[in-house]
Amino acid sequence: MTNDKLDNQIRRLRFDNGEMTQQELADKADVTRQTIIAIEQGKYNPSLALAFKIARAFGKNIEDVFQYNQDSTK
Amino acid sequence: MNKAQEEAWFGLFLGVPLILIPGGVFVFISYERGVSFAPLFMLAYYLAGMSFLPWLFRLVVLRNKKQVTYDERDRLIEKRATLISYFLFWLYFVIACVIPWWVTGSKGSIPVITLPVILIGGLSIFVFIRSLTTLILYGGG
Repeated sequence: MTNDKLDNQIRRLRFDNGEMTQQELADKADVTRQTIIAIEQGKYNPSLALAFKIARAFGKNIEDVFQYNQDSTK
Repeated sequence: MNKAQEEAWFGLFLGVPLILIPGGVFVFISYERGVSFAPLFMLAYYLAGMSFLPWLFRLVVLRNKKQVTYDERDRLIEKRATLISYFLFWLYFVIACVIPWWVTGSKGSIPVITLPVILIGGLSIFVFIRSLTTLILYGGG
């Protein structure tokens, strides 16, 4: 059985980008603030398109924002 | 709280009563007064339909077009909530169809009024489960 997890650096990147608020990031990515909160907390995995939008909002590559971890458990 | 959650709360606390109350009134009057079935049925549906007017008003008139209020996560939650409520609606419908047969036997009969009552009950269950599931899914992220 695999347990897929998508780690992200959104919180750190927001603060690195002039303490960008969640609402500002949401506006740039065309989503609601709640979705940004859910992604930040790892409760929701964004679509590929949204992941690209978020990465572009920070001017980063997608791998710099999201990291895919595959934990294999028996 | 975003628009989808507000709609879910609306469905949970106002949508269900606004379907149940006209439905209950319709059944009560039909049994007590013996009034013709069809016009009351239409009245109940008219009243149930009226419950969606405030919702429609919010969607069309009060929508803030600049701010994003609905995105892919909302769409996913809505899809899951609809699937779950649709499944439970059909489960209810199957049970509601089998129980009279089980209770009265294969040669038994039931009042015709049972059919719209089953329908109103089904609609109420659908709205209630959909609203509840939406709120639970938002709570769980």
